[in-house]
Amino acid sequence: MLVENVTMLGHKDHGKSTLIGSILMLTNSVSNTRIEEAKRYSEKLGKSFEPAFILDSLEEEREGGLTIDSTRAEAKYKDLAFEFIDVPGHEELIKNMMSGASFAETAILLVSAKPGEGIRKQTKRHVFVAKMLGIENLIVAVNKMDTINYDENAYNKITKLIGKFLSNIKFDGIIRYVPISAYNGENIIRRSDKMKWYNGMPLLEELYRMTKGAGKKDKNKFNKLRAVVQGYIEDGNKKLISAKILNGKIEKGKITFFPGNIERYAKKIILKGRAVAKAGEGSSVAIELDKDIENPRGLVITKEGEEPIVANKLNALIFTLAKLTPSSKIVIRFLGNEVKCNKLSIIKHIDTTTGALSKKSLIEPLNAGILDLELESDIAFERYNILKSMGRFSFYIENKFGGIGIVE
Amino acid sequence: MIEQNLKELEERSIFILREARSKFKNIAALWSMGKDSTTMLALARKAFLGKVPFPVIHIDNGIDFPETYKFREELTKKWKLNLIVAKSEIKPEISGFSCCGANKTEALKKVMKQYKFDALIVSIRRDEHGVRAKERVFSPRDKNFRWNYKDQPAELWDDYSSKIENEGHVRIHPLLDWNEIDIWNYIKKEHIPVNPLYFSRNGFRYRSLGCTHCTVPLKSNAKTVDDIIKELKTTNVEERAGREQDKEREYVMQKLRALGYM
Amino acid sequence: MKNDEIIRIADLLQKEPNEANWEKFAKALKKSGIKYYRIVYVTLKNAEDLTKSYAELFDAKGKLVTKVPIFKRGNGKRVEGATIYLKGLLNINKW
Repeated sequence: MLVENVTMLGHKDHGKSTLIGSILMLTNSVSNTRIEEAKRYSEKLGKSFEPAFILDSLEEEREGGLTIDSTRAEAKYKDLAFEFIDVPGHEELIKNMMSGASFAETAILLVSAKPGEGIRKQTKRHVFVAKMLGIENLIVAVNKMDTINYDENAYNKITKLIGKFLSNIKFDGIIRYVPISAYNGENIIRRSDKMKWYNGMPLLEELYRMTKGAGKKDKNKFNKLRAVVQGYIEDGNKKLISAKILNGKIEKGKITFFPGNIERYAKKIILKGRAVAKAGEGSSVAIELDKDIENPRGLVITKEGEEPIVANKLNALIFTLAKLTPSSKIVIRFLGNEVKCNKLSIIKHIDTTTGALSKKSLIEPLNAGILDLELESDIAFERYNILKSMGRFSFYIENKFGGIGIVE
Repeated sequence: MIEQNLKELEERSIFILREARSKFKNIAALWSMGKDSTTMLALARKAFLGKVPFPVIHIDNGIDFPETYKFREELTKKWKLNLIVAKSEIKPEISGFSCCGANKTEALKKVMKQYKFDALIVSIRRDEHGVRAKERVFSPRDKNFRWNYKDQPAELWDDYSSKIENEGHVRIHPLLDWNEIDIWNYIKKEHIPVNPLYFSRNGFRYRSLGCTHCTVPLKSNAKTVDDIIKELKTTNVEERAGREQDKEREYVMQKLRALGYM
Repeated sequence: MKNDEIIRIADLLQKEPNEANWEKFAKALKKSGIKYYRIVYVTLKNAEDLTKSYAELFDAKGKLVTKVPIFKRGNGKRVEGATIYLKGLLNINKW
């Protein structure tokens, strides 16, 4: 069964735990025993039971180190399994997004309809970063509809505001708006009769359809061979190159390593211990060359005549956790290796809560910017919208994680 | 328990093992002769052309199961493993466990220092490693959100390696995303040799392997890998958490102790 | 009888569980009819406590043949676990 990762964006107080607990209960993804334990836990706290306690009680058990299977919030719905991934902070968000291999990135943006609540600044920043890194499908779940009496007008006001924000940050993926009450389980798995004015599907059905539809999107397929060298593997007195295929297929024949334009002949391709005719995206292979290469780690492999971009200057959209100025000393980490940045020019500042562009001489913390970077040496890369894995990097300021960037 | 795509899991693990090998000068792996660490070795053989090119460390308290010692001997010979036996002392410690716990960690620290290993491959899985406090319930990756070490967010690297304070080495977790049932499915697919203790005799079998002192068997009639897979599929959370609760907790506690986390 | 030798060495081990005797035991074990073991722990707070525990050894029919200690006294009186010498036997798995 395919497990689909769903990123949960939104503030904790807007009902994330309640929503997850609710989903787990409604999809029968949590046993009665667990529910009983959660009820006991809530009693212990002197509170009346609500779905959030399912996760909270699991967390408590885990503090004692006694739980299995509690690190996942997995729910089965029809023929799919969803894993809900919370991203409480910037680092978790970035980590999660940078690790995603699939391009069917789906997120649920949870916003509270309760007066006085509403989308928080941090959440907006998260949506910005999520969009930057490739979220293409977004479900905006307007929660706590019970606190506004399931009022259609209030709901429309909220969705309009969010829609405006999304267009300001130039989000061009698929958006679906769903009104819910996680606390009461309204419109999560079944249409709610308290919101008869709502014409869409319940949350899980929208999520399901979005996920199913995503894979079939027409992609302008970039199919050139791109592989990155990890290092050497010894086989007797032979040295084979270990590499991961990022894109396209590798087969016997002429290949070229970049930077450096080093030409070689791939005599043998070994996949999981067996010689194969070719290997595709995602595979880790071992390659026997006609001639060794010194220090191959980090080099990019291509087919003859299909060069990547090779340069030490690039233009990038970055998101930074700390203040960035032209005198900041940064080191980028790209394809598993570190490269020092010699010069940094700030072209534009982008406010991540509004999408507004401005000319500033620095990038404020938790904001984005367009930068020109001059690196200490050439790297082989692609634009992010062509090949994500070769167009993104993280950067460090004085050995501390600073943020991420994508090559424009 | 949700079964995942074995091919993807395998690819990721192979990638991680190769990265570890390329990035660190002197790596070693913990081997307990259990199903997880043995699966890790099978994956290493796939990653490194049929060889396990790093030493495997058995933290031995001297009272492990005879079946485990036999399995250790046989597989070391068959796969030509470079085995290091690090003896751990049985002595009282804070958690109250004298056999499998902090004392093992102590023995591990000694051997890491002695051989100057700079990275250690540990075969823990996310679905059982819910230990380090202050972790979110549905946090997707390893609990140590540490960014200040050699992490490579472009791939899954940083999700699988963690530097533990004051330890001076990096821990690599190639099996973090695997479920218990994925391990058994892979064992079945690849015909990986398995410690006989996992299989039922006389109505009992062992689900996790600690030493003879702290390991408790479970009631089961699963005699083969297929039986075990079937058992895992039909055993729902309730059964495990309900009647079997005590045994289950015992099982988890053993595992944690064995990892030196308690 | 088949198990005379192993019983003799088991007695030896009760008195002197040193490396040499354990080696003798391991050799004789292969020739004996012993198939199963069960380890009985009394208490185990430290290595010395290992001397209080023992292993029962059974034949193929599950009949008790003899008992052995589960520790080894090395040089300088250090007590170490010795279950490795029961290699080849299976846990009796009967409760």
